[in-house]
Amino acid sequence: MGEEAVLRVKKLTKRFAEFTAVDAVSIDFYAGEIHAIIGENGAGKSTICKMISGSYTPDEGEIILNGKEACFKGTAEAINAGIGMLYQERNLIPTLTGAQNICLGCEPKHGLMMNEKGIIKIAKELKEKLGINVPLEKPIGDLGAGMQQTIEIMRALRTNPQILILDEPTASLGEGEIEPFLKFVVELSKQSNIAIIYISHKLEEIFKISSRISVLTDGVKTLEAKTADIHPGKVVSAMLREKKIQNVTVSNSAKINEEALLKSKGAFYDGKNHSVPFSLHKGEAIGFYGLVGSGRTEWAEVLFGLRPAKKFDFIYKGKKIDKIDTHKMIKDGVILTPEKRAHGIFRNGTLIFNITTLFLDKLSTQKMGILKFKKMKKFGEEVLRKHGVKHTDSQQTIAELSGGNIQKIITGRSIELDDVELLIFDEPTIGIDLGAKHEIYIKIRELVESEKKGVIFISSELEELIAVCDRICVFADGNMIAEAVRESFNKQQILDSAIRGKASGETMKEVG
Amino acid sequence: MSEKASISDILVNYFLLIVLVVVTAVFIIAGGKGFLSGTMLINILRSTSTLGVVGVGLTVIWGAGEMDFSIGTECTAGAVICGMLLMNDNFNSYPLAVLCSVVLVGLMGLCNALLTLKLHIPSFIATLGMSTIVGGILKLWTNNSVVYSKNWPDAFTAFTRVSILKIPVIFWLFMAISIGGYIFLEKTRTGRYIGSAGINATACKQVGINVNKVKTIAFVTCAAIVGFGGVMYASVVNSVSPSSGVNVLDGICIVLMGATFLKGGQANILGTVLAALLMAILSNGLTFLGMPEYAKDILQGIIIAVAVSAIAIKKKGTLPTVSFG
Repeated sequence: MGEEAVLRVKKLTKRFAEFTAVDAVSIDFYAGEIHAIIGENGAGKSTICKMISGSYTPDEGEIILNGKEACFKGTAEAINAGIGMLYQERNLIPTLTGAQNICLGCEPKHGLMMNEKGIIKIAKELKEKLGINVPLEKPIGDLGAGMQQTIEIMRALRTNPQILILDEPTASLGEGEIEPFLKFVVELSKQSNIAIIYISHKLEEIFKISSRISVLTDGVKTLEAKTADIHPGKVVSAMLREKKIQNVTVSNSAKINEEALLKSKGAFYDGKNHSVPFSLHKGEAIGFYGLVGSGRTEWAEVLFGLRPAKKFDFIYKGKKIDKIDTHKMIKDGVILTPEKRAHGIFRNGTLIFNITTLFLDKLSTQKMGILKFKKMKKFGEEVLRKHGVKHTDSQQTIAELSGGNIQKIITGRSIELDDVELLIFDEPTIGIDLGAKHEIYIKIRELVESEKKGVIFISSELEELIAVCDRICVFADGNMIAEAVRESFNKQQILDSAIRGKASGETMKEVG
Repeated sequence: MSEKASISDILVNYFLLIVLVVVTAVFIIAGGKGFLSGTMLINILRSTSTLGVVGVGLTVIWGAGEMDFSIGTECTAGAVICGMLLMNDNFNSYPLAVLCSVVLVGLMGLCNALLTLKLHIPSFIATLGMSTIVGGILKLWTNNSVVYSKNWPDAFTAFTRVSILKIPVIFWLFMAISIGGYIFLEKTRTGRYIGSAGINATACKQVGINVNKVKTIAFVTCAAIVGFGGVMYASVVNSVSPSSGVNVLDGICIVLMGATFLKGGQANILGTVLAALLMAILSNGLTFLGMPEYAKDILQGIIIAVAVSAIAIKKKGTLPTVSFG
């Protein structure tokens, strides 16, 4: 290596409670290069960048900028040191114009006042330098997502950074906006001698634009290579993780011959038609796999009545559903446990309160709806015992419990519902320890095998879906695109399909 | 997203101004010449001024996305501190007393900022608590009674008595503070950061703006301006009392009404000034026509409801609210 790296991170580590998000990662970044970082959801990509940009302080390791060790206390210092970052979420002030947004934080002054003409001048110069066409004097709120994105990059470039971090920049762009945007990024790296760190989970994209690729898996760097030297298959296999998941006994229990519990074709929501064709039988657990933004949760929310849909084609227990509302779905035996545990609990409520709120119809007097506290307590304690929730007192607040135990309460109370037949668990194992995860897997199998219920298990951890599910449906871009069956689960092919957005490999059945 | 503003846009944006013109016209027609008399106009300007200054202060903190429910007490404190200091035989500098008022009330704003930004108490709770505490202290200090003193210098009521170009000084002060506030919020960096932090604090942090500092400035500025409003109020009534001053709800009302003007839901000085004028015209006009005081409340409520619903229907998600928590 002839030239010196602009930025080196050495043994960078970041922990959140017991969870290690980034584990001793070392990468060098060179000027004029686009260095792509790819990895599954939660692999630690964003965490690394947030440490570089000063949003997070690393627990261990060094950040070396231009040969000198840097330690940023906050984003302002990192910006001054020459690190620009574009975050996943759009972060603009909609009421300000493009030029005003670009100069936000370092407006030129005219005595005590801001120099509005100077602001426009800076923005115009930048625009000419980059050779792009964006309206600068219109409020940002009136512009499209692509334009907003470009303005945000201009803002990051205003301070002439040496390093520009782009965190999933194409995630919020529409179909037609991605191509020109990628061109712009390539052009940018050629023209200016900036080191660009490009985070993405879109394989095609990074092979198109990057000159170097690093793969992160569970916070560990598993591959670094020049893009020209490797092929996509190698990247995918580096993304696969070897996690120790205890075996879960799975015996085929599905009543395939009977009528399907749920038959889904598709639905129209979020302004688009989504094709999600699958059927679920009693006694079957199917997994929904996909990368962030692949539309698994959205589909589940439509079925459960949390996300409005204009049209939908669902047949539940042999009847076409013509109107969805959450209350009715629960009455009909469908329950969804939300992706974010926090959405499923009343933080300041007691354990009893959190469990019984779902069952107040049953736990109050018929006519007046007066609560029967003794009955509530008995019922709640029964649920706690039955589902092995570790607690000290049934009247303690739920926020005091660990994530795993909170999840046990959420799943436990859902299972206790009368006549529940279809359970949708959205990322039930996120952020909980292995033992607790295993208990959830066993619970799911128990539900499908001995109680003949149908389970949809949404997860970003392929291993657990492979361990628990009878079938796996792969999602990409809001649609279900492929399906795999238990007899021929192939990790690499499933992941490959999710990344490419189409069935790839002989074990994957194309759908839609 | 269209280039030309539609008629409905114009109606929504200028609703406040239209109402102001219509209401004034109705009073002139119904009240005849009497409504245009000098005393009437001066009355209107006077009551616009105190309420308006408090509104300007509240606009600053509202713009920062925070709330200050202690404006009522801040206003009272401004008056009481000034009046009580001047009771003292050895203390006869009016400007110094005014300065003390503004600085001490400004400190109250600093406390609000600390509670909100350091202890992370939602600002509406923190300021409500602060309001009660300081209100109690003021009652202790004044024995909970109206205070009037012969010791007070003539300057005490000069804002109201003295006129420049036939307009009382108090109104000129209001104008000066409004223009100052406008320039501060619209033309200075800090002002822009205040507005930006109110809309998207994360975005501000990411470009290296110190959001806590910006919001602290907003809290202190708000309190100091409102404290000065209290001094103005004392000069109008020529007495101070721990239970008089500008009503909190009136202050909130004019900022709310003002937010509907031009900026579709964002608190702004121009709107606040117009709304203060409208309120003063309404209350003085109705009294002039022999209507009871509460008639104003009803009209004022209707105006707010119509203006805010129009914005809610036009632009979803940009209502003039502050997040409570």
